[in-house]
Amino acid sequence: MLGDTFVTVVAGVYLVLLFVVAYYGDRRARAGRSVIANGTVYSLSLAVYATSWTYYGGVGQAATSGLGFLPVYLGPTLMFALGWVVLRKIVRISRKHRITSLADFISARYGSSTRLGGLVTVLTVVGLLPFIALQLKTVSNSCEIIRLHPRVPTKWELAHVPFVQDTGLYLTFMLAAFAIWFGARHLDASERHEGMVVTIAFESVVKLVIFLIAGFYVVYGMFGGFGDLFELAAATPRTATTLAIDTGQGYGTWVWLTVLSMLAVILLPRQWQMTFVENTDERHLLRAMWMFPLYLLVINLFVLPIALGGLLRFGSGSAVDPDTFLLALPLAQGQELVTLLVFVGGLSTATGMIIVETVALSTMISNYLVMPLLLRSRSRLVEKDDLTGVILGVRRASIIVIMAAGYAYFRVFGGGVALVSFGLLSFVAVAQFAPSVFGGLFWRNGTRRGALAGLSAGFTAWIYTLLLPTFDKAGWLPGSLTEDGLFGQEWLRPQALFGMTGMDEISHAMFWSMLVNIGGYVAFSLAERLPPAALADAAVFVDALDDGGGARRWYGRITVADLRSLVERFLGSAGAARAFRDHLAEDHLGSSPEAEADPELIQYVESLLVGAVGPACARFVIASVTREDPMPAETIREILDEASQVAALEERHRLARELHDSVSQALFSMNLHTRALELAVQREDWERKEPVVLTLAELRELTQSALSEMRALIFQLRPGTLHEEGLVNAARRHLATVAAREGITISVEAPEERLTLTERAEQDLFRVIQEAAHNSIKHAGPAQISVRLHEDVLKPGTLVVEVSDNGIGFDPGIPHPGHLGLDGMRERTERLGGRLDIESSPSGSTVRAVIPGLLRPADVRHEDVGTAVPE
Amino acid sequence: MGKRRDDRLSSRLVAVTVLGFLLLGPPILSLFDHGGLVLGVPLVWVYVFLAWAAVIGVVAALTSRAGRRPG
Repeated sequence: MLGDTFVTVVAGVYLVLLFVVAYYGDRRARAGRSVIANGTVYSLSLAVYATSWTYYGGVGQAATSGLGFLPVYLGPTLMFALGWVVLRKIVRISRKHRITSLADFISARYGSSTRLGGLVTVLTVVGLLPFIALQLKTVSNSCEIIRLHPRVPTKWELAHVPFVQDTGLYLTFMLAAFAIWFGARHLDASERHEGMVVTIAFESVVKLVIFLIAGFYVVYGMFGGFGDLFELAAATPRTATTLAIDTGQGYGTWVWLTVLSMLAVILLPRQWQMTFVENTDERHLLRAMWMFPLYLLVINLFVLPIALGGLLRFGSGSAVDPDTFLLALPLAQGQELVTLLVFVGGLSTATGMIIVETVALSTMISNYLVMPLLLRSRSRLVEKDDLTGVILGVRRASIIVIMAAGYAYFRVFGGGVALVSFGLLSFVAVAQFAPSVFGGLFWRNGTRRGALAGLSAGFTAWIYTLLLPTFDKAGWLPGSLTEDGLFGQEWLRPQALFGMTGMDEISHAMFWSMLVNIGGYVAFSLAERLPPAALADAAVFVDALDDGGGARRWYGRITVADLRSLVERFLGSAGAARAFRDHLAEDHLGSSPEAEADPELIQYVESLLVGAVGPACARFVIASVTREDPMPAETIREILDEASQVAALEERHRLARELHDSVSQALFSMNLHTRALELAVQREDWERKEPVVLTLAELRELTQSALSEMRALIFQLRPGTLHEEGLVNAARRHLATVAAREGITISVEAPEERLTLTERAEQDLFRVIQEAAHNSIKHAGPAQISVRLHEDVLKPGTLVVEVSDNGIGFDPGIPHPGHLGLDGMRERTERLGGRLDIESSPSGSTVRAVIPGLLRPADVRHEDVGTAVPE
Repeated sequence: MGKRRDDRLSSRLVAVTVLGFLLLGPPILSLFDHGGLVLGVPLVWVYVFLAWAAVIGVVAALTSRAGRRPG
């Protein structure tokens, strides 16, 4: 029954079935009824972790080292138990910053560096080739076994299949076409592939069910159940040793493999793609955290029994490759149906892994290697308006190249090597990303240079301790590197570096590569001082879980009424009323307007504002209205930490630019048109044109004042211009617009030469002047305001800023509800190390800020922009 | 608030992970690892799978409780 043709037909039908599944998934997605929007499909799609390595290689490993294959599945269990802490953070960051690959993630964390992204991509491709070769090897082997049946081929035969006869070669190109169809058919900004995810989930079910069937067949069909099989194995000297973990070498390998697979389960490109990029809802993680490990547990139940069955059936010195036991056992028994199923299951594991892996790799290659080069070289390819075709072309080409390279690797190096050692080679390679990724997630001080140094060092160690020995084994290197060391130096032997023996090669490589990787990352990171922009990048990653559901708590003091009027300004009174009613009803809080708002209410208001003006602005607004609270200095610093300041400034610049480009321009042309209309009407000879002329004049005045108000607002939004212009000029300009708007006189008296002030001091003083003038206009109704800035003649270095008016005065002792000006001015002055005096009488008031030591000689450069407090 | 519950869940999960690491590694593992059969199956094989299943079970219990109370 199992002829060449029949098997080819079965494989073909199976692949067509996969297309149908993918097509169904894509169609459901387009119809808005996504199949993948649930935790179960998500968990199953993660099971792409279980590749041919698990399916065939696990049995092979169990046959030689007993339970030693298990840590590779225990690690993921432990890592996924941490899912809500670690994985959710990455999911959230990826969502928020449109991160579509591991290279994106590392590059974005360290200042959007293309160089770093490129390095990550190169290392991933090199590191993953052995793994892809592993899959191709199993495909090739299984085809060969089926072809030669009913005879079971020996290990030697499998390793020496003639090139043209190798079905694996043809399947390789078929799989490449398959991967292209799944992952590089069209471009999608989110890089999500619903059809692919559905297919992978489907394949996970197929391979699990088939593996269980094969397991049952071996345990109950060939032997008399678990008890019988194990007792037989224990009685046979050759198999008895595989029933224990410690076979005389201790547990070092076990522990290292557990740690290694904890890292690999998220850092392998296909796992990254499935876990983070294809995730549609972070709540799916809650189910995947136990369901994915459970899948791994179930699929591993029969691994040891099958390996024992193989050893018992074929005899210990058999020429049959243990990696093929799963297929060879039913075949040797003449059980053709089970053999066929196993073949399909194996095809399923290999296709799933290859599709996802190559799709993920091709995205990285096109984004970080090819496109940057094309764009920089100004190639004719990229001069087109629509680059979709070019990008897709690049991705398809890279899929084909990766597959071809994988096949070549397998042909050159893979002959007699066990599947597991290929896989572990790749595991150690991707583990090199761990310091940069986890350091980046939890440690603020990691820097780009640290990441570059750590990655380079770790990979060099990987190449030397793991990759070169495989070259050596294939006879590619002159001399015998593994035996005698580099230049014949004993202490440079790749698998016993500095004479370190007693560890297996994987543990040894992990130890050295992690040592230099983590060491380089930490040392280079600590060696430099972080610029604010880097801290802002770090904060985005390290605090990723803080700004969504549970935002930072505000300790400011503000009444409910004030908070409400703030919301009204952004949402309108109806919106504010509704929002407050909902919130207060929900939490059964007292609704007295004079009551002090509790932190939760402030936080709620912040979330309302986020919807209106974005997170950075909202945080800034809340920080400024709650500032009168006598918060501890640390809290203030934390709230206005550099990250949020940078973000807020950027947001304000953007806002200013947009206001200038849209509203200002509109107002300006409205003003012009009104003026034109006014002149036209005046020239006409109507009977009752007076009211029209008056209304037009009024309209023009209104637009005029709206325009100047808008200009003032834009100016305020751009604190940077303050520093360019200098405090005095900026104050003059601002006060001139205020004077024009209010119809009063404002005089400014200040020294001719520019005051040498820090940027921070300029900003604070500008706000003090602005606030004092505003106060006086609002509460005292003056006809004239005079502003003076001068150095105290008696105390050199002391700056005095005075704002006085001739209004009716006010009582500085009485708090003014809804108005936080005085305290804000006082706080700003005190922050600069000075004090604020207020005098008020019915004939006028004066606000005076006296700041000693603020004026320094012009030739001193101030490096510490943030602190202006004298000793 | 959701935040507090979230913190509690996270801390419990970290504790489970540490426990899992201890249960599924040496030296506890070596207590069961002497190649003997119990009721016809290798003791260490049964132990690893049971401990593994226990870790998964605890995670499932913790997360399903969190999943039922959204917020």
